[in-house]
Amino acid sequence: MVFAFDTNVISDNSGELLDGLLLTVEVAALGFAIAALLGLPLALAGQSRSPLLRVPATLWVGLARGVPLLIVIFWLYYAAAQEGLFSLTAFVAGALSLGLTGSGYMSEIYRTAFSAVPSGQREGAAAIGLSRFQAFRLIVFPQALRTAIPPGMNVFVMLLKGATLLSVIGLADMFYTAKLVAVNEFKPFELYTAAAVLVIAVTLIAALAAGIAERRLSKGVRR
Amino acid sequence: MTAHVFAALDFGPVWEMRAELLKGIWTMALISVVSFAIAIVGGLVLAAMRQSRSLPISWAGFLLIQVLRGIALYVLLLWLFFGLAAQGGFQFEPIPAGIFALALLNSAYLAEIFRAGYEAVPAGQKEAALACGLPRRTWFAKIHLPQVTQITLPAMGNVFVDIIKDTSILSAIGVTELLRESQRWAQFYELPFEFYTAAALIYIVIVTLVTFGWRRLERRFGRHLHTTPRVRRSRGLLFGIGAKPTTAP
Amino acid sequence: MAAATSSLLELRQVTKQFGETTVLHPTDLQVERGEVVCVIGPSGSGKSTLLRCVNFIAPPTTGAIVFDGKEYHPPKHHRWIPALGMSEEQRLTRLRTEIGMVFQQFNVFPHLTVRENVALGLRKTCGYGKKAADERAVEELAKVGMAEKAAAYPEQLSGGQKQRVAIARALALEPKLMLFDEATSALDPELVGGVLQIMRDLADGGMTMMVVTHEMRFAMDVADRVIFMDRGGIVEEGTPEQFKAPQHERTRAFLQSINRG
Repeated sequence: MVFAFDTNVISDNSGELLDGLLLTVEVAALGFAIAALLGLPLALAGQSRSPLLRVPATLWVGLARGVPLLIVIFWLYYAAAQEGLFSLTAFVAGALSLGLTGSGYMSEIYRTAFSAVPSGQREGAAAIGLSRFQAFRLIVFPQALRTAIPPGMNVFVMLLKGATLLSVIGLADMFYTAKLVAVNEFKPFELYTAAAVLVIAVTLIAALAAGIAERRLSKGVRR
Repeated sequence: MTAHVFAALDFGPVWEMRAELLKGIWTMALISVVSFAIAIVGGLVLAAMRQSRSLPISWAGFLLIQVLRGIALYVLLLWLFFGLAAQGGFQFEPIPAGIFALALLNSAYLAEIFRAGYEAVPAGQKEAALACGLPRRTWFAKIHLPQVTQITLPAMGNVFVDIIKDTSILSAIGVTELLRESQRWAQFYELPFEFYTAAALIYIVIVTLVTFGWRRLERRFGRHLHTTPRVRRSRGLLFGIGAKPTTAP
Repeated sequence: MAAATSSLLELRQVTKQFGETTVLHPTDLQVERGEVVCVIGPSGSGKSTLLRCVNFIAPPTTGAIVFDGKEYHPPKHHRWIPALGMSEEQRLTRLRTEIGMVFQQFNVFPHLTVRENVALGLRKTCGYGKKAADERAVEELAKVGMAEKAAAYPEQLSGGQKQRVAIARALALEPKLMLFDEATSALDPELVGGVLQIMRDLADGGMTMMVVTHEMRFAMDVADRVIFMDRGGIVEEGTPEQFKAPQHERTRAFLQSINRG
């Protein structure tokens, strides 16, 4: 076993490693934005009286939560290109995969948040003559958003971890760098450890923030 | 144009390779079940550490859980195989390594689930049971455990489904589970669309089956909760139940 | 759709069902302008349901509501294309701007300030601009004695204060009819009087009111008409005088049980 840990090779390549890390975080952030935006109409459709809206929404959520992320990534990157449907870069395919998968989770989070708003709020809104759309936009949604933030941040952490998979389709993240440099410098342990520590640190920070948000927002829960 | 594209789909090779795919499914199932079982044990250990009265042990448990929850499976596998093993010049066996990684990381999630379940059972029950003269062993087996199980079962089901899905990541270290098989034949036949779509459908079917099966399990453990049919109430309204219609004069 | 009636509000054969259970049996009711009608009865008698049918917050299953000369029917539920029911819903939404409602649980909006709570209706349904709405809001708050708290958030207020804000919010839209659904039942005893006083003043000012309440003294003092409901139907109605010697056994039993406590 190797006992000497060569920190020089890490510091020499720290620039590339950090660039790779940044890329991972960017993909995850973009993916989360897509998921958060997509999840909202999905949640609304899933609660609709009309089966025309409800069934596709339910199917979509089932798909998003039943198919492993890696398959979605492969499908979007390789399968779609084969059929000439569309050809995506690794970054876009990655962000899209994360966004589509995450939208299923966000949809459920929104739905829980909506039902957490007391029904009296809808009654109060109706009583002053607000339409259903107005009542949702002005009264229900603002209150639901508060409840949705902590679990939403957990979804971001989940997407951050999922984004690490993207080196399999060639995204130039820190593991891609680690692999390249390791081949040249024969120090795989140091490099992979550095890459791992970097991404784990970022993930833990995000998870910590999510935990703090959860504690803060569950304090003043009143009528 | 899309119709033209879809007409050119060729699922034949997918059907031909069904035996191989089936092998992949079997490997996936095996790994999932074993990892889940070991993760439960690990989760219990970690949860027990957290409950320990010894401060250093409790803290160690806490830190371990938090750190493990921040590690992505892929990261751990890469580090083990291309970092540790490559440097040391040895090789891990893919399947045991995969099981180890899956079990390790998921034990942290399960530990949190167990803790939440443990705290959700009203504390007064233990006192009441002991005051009635029940030995601790009976209380634990007949009163405490069934209730904790009932509360934690849904969340445990989620972890199990996640493990099944995460076996796909083991393809990166060479485990020949479903995704790896799909990948192999997709590349061989140059038909990624067909094979990956088929794989996706298989995963959906399996996840759906497992979810339904798990719900039946939940129902069996939640028998005491689904007894009398409850009348649906409207918002904030109490109304007479079972009152015969009276004619108001 | 003008219906031949001079009453402000008329309920025609209004029923309400939840699934299999009938909560409100076919009910007819008329309320004249300026009249104060108090509805009393045990829990589960359908009083709140009746109130909620009037402004279609919980629409009746069958029957018709005639308000200010216009007829309203339970909206049809278009299952497949929800958008089809839009115009009927818009009509009902407008109806609710003419009827104000105060709830047992207040239902003030916690994420808005007191002033914003009152101004919201003015801005969104009456088309007021922000400045005008804010000014009107403060005026209304002053009438219920809550003007200094205009910038506060509901969670900083007591129950009685929240209810006053709710009343101001309802009155801001200058409704023709005010509905009170057990407005004081969730308040601490010492706060009840203040809210009841506001309600009395409203009645004296000529507002048409339907009040569901447990406060017997209030009902007997303020009401022009009292209605006793039980098990989903109106059992007896009359003036407070008439209720001192009720005709029906159940009414007597109910009043006695109230007095015993």
